[in-house]
Amino acid sequence: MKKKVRSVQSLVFLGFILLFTIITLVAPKKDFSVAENRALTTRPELDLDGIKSGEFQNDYEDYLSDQFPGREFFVNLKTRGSRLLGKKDINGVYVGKDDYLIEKHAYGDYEEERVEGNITALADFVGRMASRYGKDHTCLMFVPAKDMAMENKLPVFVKPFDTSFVTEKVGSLLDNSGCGSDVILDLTEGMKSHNSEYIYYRTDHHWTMRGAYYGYCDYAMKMGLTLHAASEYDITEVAKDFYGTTFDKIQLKKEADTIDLLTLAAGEPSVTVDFDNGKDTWNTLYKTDAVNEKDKYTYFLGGNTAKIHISTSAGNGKTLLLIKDSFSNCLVPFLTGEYEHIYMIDLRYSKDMMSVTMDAINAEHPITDVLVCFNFEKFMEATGVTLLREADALQ
Amino acid sequence: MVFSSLVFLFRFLPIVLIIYYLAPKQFRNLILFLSSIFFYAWGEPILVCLMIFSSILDYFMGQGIGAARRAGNEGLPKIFLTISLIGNLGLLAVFKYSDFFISSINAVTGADIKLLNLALPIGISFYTFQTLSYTIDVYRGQVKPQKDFIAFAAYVTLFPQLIAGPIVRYKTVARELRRRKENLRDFSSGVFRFVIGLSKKVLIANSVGEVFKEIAAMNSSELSTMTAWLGVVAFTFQIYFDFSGYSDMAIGLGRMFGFHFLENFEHPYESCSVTEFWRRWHISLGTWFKEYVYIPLGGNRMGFKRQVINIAIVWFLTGMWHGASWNFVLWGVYYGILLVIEKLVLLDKLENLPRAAAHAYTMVIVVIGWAFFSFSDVMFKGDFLKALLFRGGNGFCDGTFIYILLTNLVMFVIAAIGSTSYPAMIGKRVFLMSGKKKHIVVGVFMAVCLMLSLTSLVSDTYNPFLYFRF
Repeated sequence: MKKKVRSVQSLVFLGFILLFTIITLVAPKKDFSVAENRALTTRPELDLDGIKSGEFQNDYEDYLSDQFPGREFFVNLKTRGSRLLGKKDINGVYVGKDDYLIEKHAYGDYEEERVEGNITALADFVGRMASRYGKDHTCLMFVPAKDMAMENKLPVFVKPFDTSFVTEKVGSLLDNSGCGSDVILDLTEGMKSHNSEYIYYRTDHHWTMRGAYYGYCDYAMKMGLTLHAASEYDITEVAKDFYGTTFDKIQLKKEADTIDLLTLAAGEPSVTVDFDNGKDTWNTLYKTDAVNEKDKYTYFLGGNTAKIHISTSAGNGKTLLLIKDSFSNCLVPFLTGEYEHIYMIDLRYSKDMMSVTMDAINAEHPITDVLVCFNFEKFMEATGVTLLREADALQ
Repeated sequence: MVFSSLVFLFRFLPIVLIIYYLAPKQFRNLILFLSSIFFYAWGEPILVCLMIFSSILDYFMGQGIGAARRAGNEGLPKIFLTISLIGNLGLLAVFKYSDFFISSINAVTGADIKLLNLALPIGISFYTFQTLSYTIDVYRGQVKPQKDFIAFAAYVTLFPQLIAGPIVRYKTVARELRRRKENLRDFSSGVFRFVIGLSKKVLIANSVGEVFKEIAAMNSSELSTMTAWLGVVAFTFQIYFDFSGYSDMAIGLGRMFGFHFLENFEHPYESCSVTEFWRRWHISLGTWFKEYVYIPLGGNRMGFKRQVINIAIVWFLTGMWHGASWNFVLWGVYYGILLVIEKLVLLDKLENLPRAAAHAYTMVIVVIGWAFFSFSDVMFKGDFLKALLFRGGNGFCDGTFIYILLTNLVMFVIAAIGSTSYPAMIGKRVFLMSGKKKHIVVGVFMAVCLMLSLTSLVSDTYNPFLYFRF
């Protein structure tokens, strides 16, 4: 018996390591993971400098884990195991009420220097825009992250990450510079007041078009634009079975999301959309193919591009400079009736300094209004915000 | 390289095992030496030369002491020993403690000497102590110098215990270096031990470690006192399962190659006094300091006052060994003081208390100790300390604490039970009751542990050991 036990022990172990050694050697390698939405590390090349610095070793280890077959299966298994143990947050995601998956944030997630740098650059830029175009034509809009807005769906005893300090800091910088913090529109309370409605996706960090509608309402009230009642909109479900970014983190399939499109029953303005100075041109704001892709949020403007120019049939001579992140993609449809030209700039993909970009825009259609719209969470970790700081101080 | 990684489990280990067991016996030490160099260089491609230097130095010093003694010379052995001491302790002083010395001097004198910012070579605290144990034991005549350089180098670099111990004294494995008999019994027990260690590290240590990491990152407005202490409790479990799990893997791997290392942990959290705790925690380190510092200083054979001084010195050094930072020294001195108090007064009183009370006392002391220990420069946040001392930004107890406690309760209970000897006892009983199905029970148990560990490893891409800064 003893020999049997010992043999089994040895065989199970050896079998295990040999089996997975062979599997990891033989399994086909992939370049890209759809589930994780990122490029997967491929086999690193043997290179002396890489070995000396340790980079080869790190890359090789990343390569082994990235290429390990069935990663999603293991993540799913781990998630289910963690839930069995009673955990309500896994891999940085809260499994909330009503099948809401909500990303967890804490101050420690961000680099303090970058946050401070972004706050300063933003306040600086907004102040300059307000003095150039007038406070009535300038707005800094902050969109809360899902944990703040959908507090009601968080697990019991969990508090959201309070991002009001960003608003306060930017506000006090604007007060000190003479501009005044009233150019800031913090949508947090507004979004919270609607959180019994489907204003954020359950499985994605973005707000829904419904949520963007409420954001537009607050913006319109502040800037004196046309307010449309909710009843004026037709709601069409354009996509279902949407499992977004938050789902990807834990691979836990609960109720899927739907992409609902809001259009004015009376008719939407016509648009011409130009991407990156002519790389592509559309006559609609929506990418209907996205319905069959994995990231269905790209239905709105096809995802993120450095520069998008929208010409509308608004005919009022107003040109809006919209400095944005992905949240604005489903907000812009509500703006097409208010501005003849909308220039959307995504700093994460921009290569030029803001001054250069603005010069180019002004040469085409002089800017009359400026809206900077950021989601708190993405703003704190964003890298391109400092492009704002180097904007030309003249003019 | 780390044991609990895909590259170790599915590339390094299978290849080394195959080559080792296919090779004729006379090449086996060479194979161990070369693969250990590879293992170490994987994480330290440049500073691997320090370890090679240490091996060469102590090989020749050992030879020198032996030759000098045979020639009747008593002065030379002392010189060789001194060279070895300076060489090894010098490496430590420079690579581990130089910035500690510099910044302390700066703090005290107001000078502004620039820090060297030298990277700490992995495992330097372990292998220098190991090679020193060789030279000192040779000097003391307790072992014969090892003539075979490959065998000696294999001892120094042996990958199972190279990076985080146990600190294996040369005489423990002296015979096995040249004459070991690999067999099924050792191999299978090694394999089983390795799996247990892997599970402890990957399934338990990493889980409670996440709780600690999350709490340690909170700032003042988010921390209540209870949350901060919960973080320390999480750390208490993390460091035990991490370190003892690693030792289990080291001992298991050693067995796979025919070596028998001594136990490094004996369920320390079952202790009923601090004195007992230090007989059960990181045993190889305690033994090292006793043999090579406490006893040479006179131990308890030179009067009580001297004994207290000796204890103070040993614990100061023990604290410092754990890290080049004052919180570790504080931790060491904390234990030194407690051990003296126990020796003087408390041990007798503890023996008259019910076991549960003595055990509770010990665990309170140990947890408070870990509070000091977990404040390395990286983790130290004034906010955290304030919260521990009942001055947190969020009061004594808050919703966050309840949330973290409840959602991790099962894991904490598993960790608490797992740190006792109950699982082993229950396991043995189940094993005995399995009659003719023993091999199936064991096989299934191991397979489940391995698959669960693999699941965790694949889903987390990165998991270093806590003790890696040593």
